[in-house]
This record gives sequence, C-alpha cells and structure tokens, in this order.
Amino acid sequence: MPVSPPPAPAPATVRRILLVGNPNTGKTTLFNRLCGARAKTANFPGTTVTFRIGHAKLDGLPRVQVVDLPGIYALDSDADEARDARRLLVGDATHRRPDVVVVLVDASALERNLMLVGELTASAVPVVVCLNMTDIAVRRGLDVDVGRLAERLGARVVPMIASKGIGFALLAHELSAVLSQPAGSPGPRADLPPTGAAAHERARWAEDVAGAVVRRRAGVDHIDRRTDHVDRLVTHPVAGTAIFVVVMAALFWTLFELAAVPMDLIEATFGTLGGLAAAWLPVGAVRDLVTDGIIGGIAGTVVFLPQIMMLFFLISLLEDTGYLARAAFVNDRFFRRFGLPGHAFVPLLTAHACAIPALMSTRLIPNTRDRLRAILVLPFMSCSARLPVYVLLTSLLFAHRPAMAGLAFTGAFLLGAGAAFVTAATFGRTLVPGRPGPMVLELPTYKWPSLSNALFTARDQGLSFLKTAGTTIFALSVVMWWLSAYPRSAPPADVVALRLSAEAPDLTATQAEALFSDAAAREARAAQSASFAGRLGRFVQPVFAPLGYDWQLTDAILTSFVAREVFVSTMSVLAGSGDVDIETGVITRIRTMTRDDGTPVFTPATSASALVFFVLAMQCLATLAVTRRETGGFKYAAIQLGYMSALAYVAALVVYQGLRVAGVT
Amino acid sequence: MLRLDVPGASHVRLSDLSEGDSATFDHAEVDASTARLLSALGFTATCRLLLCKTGEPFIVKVRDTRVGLSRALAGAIVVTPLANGPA
Repeated sequence: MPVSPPPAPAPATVRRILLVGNPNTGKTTLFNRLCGARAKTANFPGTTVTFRIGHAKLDGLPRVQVVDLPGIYALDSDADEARDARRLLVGDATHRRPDVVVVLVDASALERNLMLVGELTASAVPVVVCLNMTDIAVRRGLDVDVGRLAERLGARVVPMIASKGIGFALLAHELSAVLSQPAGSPGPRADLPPTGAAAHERARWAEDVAGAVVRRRAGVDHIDRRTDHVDRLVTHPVAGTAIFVVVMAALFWTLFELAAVPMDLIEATFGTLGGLAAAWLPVGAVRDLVTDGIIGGIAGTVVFLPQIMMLFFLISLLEDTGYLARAAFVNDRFFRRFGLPGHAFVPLLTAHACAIPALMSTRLIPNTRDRLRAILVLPFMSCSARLPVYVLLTSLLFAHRPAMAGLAFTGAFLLGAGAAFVTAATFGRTLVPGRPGPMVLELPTYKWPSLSNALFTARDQGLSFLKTAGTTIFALSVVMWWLSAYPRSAPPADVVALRLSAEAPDLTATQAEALFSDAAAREARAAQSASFAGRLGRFVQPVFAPLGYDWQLTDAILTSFVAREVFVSTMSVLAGSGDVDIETGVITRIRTMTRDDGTPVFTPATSASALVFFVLAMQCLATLAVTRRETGGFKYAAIQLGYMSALAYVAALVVYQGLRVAGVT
Repeated sequence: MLRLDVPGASHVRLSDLSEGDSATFDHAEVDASTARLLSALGFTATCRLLLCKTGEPFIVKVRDTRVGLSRALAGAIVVTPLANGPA
C-alpha cells in the first residue's frame, strides 16, 4: 500500500511501540508479557477500532507505551482495523507516529505472514520482527535461518515462543536498542517490495524470502496429518455438530456452576455492608441514600460480575485452542438458512457476554450485507446484562420451583436466539436483501490455550463492567432513590391511626409489632406513590397497563432503556424504600412488593410478560451507539431500537393477555 | 465478478479436486471483498494449494496456513492441477 514518508515526530518523552500482526500470531500473549497488568482498552481519537494500550518497562527508557492493534492480514484492506492501523502507522495531526513497529509473525507460516511484513518495512518506521511459535515450526519440520531473514528484511529479528516467555528478554534488549537511537535513524537497506506494491508482488517477494530462509525437513508431517484427522472430525456434519453441542453445553454449565460460588459471596458481602451501614448511620436521608440508593442499587448488578468474567474467560480459552474457527463452519450450514454466514458464529457467541464487543467482532464478516444483518440481530442474544433480570423474573415466576425457573431461564435464552434468526431471515428478504456471501476463514493451528491470556481478557471485561456499574448504574441508582424518596410526604391518616392503636396498653408485644409493621408498609407505599418516581410511573403507566405493569414496574422498564441491568437495581431501590430489612435478599424484597391496591406487583402473568419484554427489547444505549458507529449513521440504530421495542411490546402483550385468558393471573 | 488473474489452459474448479491433490491458484469468480480477503490470505496467482479436505467445508493448505472454504466458494475458485506433491 502507498505509505507516504512520515512527518518528523515531535520530541516526546513517551516512546510508542505498535504491535502488528496477522490474527493468531500470539500478539495478545506478547502484549500481556510486555505490559502485564498495566493495560487498558481504549480508542484513539478519530479511530473506530478499540486497542489495548499498556506500558512496558525497558532498560534505560523512562516510559514506553505499547499499542496492540487487532490482527490484520494486510494494510491495504478496506477493513476498519487496517484503515486505523495505517493512520497510526503514518501519524497525523492527532496521532504521533510510533517509534518502532513490532510485527509478530508465525514461524510455522512464515511465507503468508511475510506479506504483511513487506508492507510494514516499506513504512520507514523502524521494524522489529518477532518470529513467534518457533517450537511449532520445528515440530512441523521447518527450520528458519534467523540471521538470513534479518539480512533480507533489513530489520532485527527475534526468535520467540511467546507462550513460554522464551525470547522475551532478547526482544526487550532489541527494543531498548532501537528506542535509544535518535528518531529517524536510517536502518539497513534491504531487498524489500516497492512501496505500494500489489498483493501479488508482495506475495512473490514473500515466496522468495521464505524460500531462501526456510529449510524443510522431509518426513515430518505427523502434525499436519493429525490436524487433518481432527479437522475432519470437528467439521463433520453429524459428529461435528454433536461435538459443538457438547462444547457449548459444557461452556454454559461451567459458567453457571462455577460462577455461583463467588456470586453468593458477593451477595452476602453486600448484605453485610448494608447491615453495617444501617447500624452505623443515624436514621435519616443519608442512611436511606447509602443503604437503599447506593448499596441496594449496586448490589443487584455487581453480583453478576463473576458470570461476565467467566464467560469471557471461557470464550478466550476456546478461541486459543483454534476450535472456534472450525465451529464457525459447523454453524455455517445452519446459519445460512437464516441469511447469516458462519462468520457470524463468534459474534453471536460473544453477544452472550456483551453485545458491544460482539458488534465490533462482526468486522470479520467480509460481506457488507451479511455484516449488517448480523449487527441488526445481535442484541437479541441474551447478554450478561440480561442475566440479573432473567434470574429475578424467573425466580418471581416460579418462586418455589427451581427446576421450572431453570427451564424458563433456558427458554429466555432460546427465545432470544430464535428471535435473532427469524429476524435475520426476515431482513434477508426485506430490509437487507441477499443471500449470505461465501464462507472463508483461516483455521489456526490447534494449541493449548493460554491461561494468562484468558485471565487478562476476563479482567479487562470485568473492569469494563465495573466501570459501568460504578458510573451509570451508581448514578441511576442514586437518581432513582431520590426520585422515589422525594418529595417527602406526611404519613396518611390511616397510618397515624394504626400507630396510635399499636401503642394501646392492652396489646401484646407481637400484636403491637404487627401493627407497627403494617403502618410502616402503608407509609412507604404512600410515600412512593407521592414521590417523583411515582408520579412519572403513573403518567406513563397507561401505555404498559395492557402488559399488566403498575407504575413501579413501569418506572423500572423506563430506566432500563439506558441499560438493562438497571432494572434490578431500580426494583431493588423501589422495594427497599420502606422499613424493610436491608439484609433481606433482593429477590425476596421485590417479590413482596405490592400495588396501590395491595395486590402483588409480580403475578405469574406479569412476570412472564416482563421476562418476554426483556428478552426482546433493545435496552442499551451503549449498544445503540456502537451500532450507529459500525453502520455509519443513525438509520440502523433507530431501526434496531424501533423494531426490537415494538416486537418486545407486542410479544409481552400477547403473553400477558394470553395467560389471563387461560386463567393464569 | 472479479477475476484475479487471466486463466490459462487445463483449468478446473477447486471443488473438482480430490483430497491430497495439489494445484496452483489461478483466479476466483467472486465479489471484490471476497477477492481481497482471499488475496490477503495468500491466494495469489500461481501460489500452490494442497487440498486437505473436501466437503463442507473444503480445507486448503496455502503458504503453510490452513484455510476453510465453503463448498460454494471452492466451486468459484479456478486452479491448475499439479502432479501430487507438497504445496
């Protein structure tokens, strides 16, 4: 690709390293080794792609920033990742060009990887080549002459096994050496493809270089034969599908079983915190704010942090093994019937954790229309933000029947997936017509997954979730508490009368306590009803009345259009606004909520209706923002919000009215 | 449809080959974005291919990497068969 000479960099104390490479070359592993826990995920101004940014400690250099770009096959691609990589590589008014580019290459597939190296070495930024996975190359009978390769490339070449930390010290040494040189120092000239060379010219150059530096030992093909056997099995129409079902069942079983322990711990911790705060703080607005608004609001959401981290951890492990690419082909047969290519499998799986990274991962779908269909239906998949809502509503729906609650929980997942596929098929015939494009995907080498990579991924996603919980959800919890607590109103006459009668001397302690408790509940309900939240809920409630929702449930539905998980915290705040023991479980408190007429807020019919509404509704501003960004405008974000909300409303209406007709109320 | 190269004589479809057959890539009758992706994955004129698996998907070894292709795409790729040997 044409890369113009970069402007002279501005003097800077922070040196920047850009990590570039084909997918599956071990970039993430190297990044984690360079930066450890000192990394964050971010966007540069004006770029659409999310990068990981960290800081490395290198001898003799005060600060070194490392930017990990998503895997790319070529710089001259029209993909967002390639376009942003070009911008960062060349530098402009807003992006300082890097001081060095580290390009990861898979030593066992050197020829294909060199095609990207050929583009990078033409950029005039110093390049250090990491020849990774040399162990796999040796096992496959490929010996790479490192010295000769460095000579041909005119760049430093570091042989490496990143997964084992081998070669890391040498890389750090080489980077220190390059970064210690004055900026713009000319490197050795080499026989490189010309700037702007076409793909076939770079390919011929790569063939020539690989032919000169790679020696192939004869008779070492057992790894390839084994890979052939495994590939035949895992992509087989019957056996491959069975393996896929078992893998997915194991994934979700592990997710729910292992996450249960830390979830219980978190719930107990928040219960204790609430109890301590209630005991230490004087009765009044501050205590109510802390116990009901802050602790009560956040507890209902943060408790699901383990599930989110666990899902990303497991997906990362699976991805590392090389299986997910094969699973995409297994799914291609099924997906294609609904207008989606097999490429959509990884985004759809990722969407079970969060729709935002899933939307970004649709970039691996080469066909624009296929990608658009996938983007439009991805938010139907049950993301981790829906889990707290599902747990709450299925528990309310089947209070003492955990098996039925489990079935309803599974049904909610299936309903979301079913809606996604049916909608994709519908859009394939209407809004985004066309058949899915042909499926092509690199099948990475099978290898043991990296535990540290999976842990780093889980940590990053967990921190991202906590950031949301600590900002959006925290703020909304406080706002909801304030809206539901103010304006303060005087106790109604019946409450005053009840309290007076409770003080009668002829009553036993138990009778008096019961009357006080009844008075407190009536006072709380009256206060909520007169609050700002009560007034807002009442104003909008007629819209949701056909679905069986009262003003409290309507309030929670409205706030959850910002983010779904806010539903639980809002209900928790509304349920905790009376004289309710804060240590009582969130679900129990919500289950006992009543309407103004004293009937339960959550009947089986309203619980089922609300569950269906949450499965299908588009309730995430962040997802809409990413849809707008990924589709280049508001049109598809508006369509997504409109059709998902309409579908959710109609389906919830049908469920509620249907159950009423059937006698289930 | 985009042609990546000018076809010569004795060309066949990749989908016509059998497992273990080798060939050189000639061109692909696909849309522009798929053509660019194939090119970036190493499918450029005269590069050697080894067919590892037929069916759904076809698995091809190209430039020491393995690439999965749907049967339909394999039918759109035109190759020149070689006498069997390593790709």
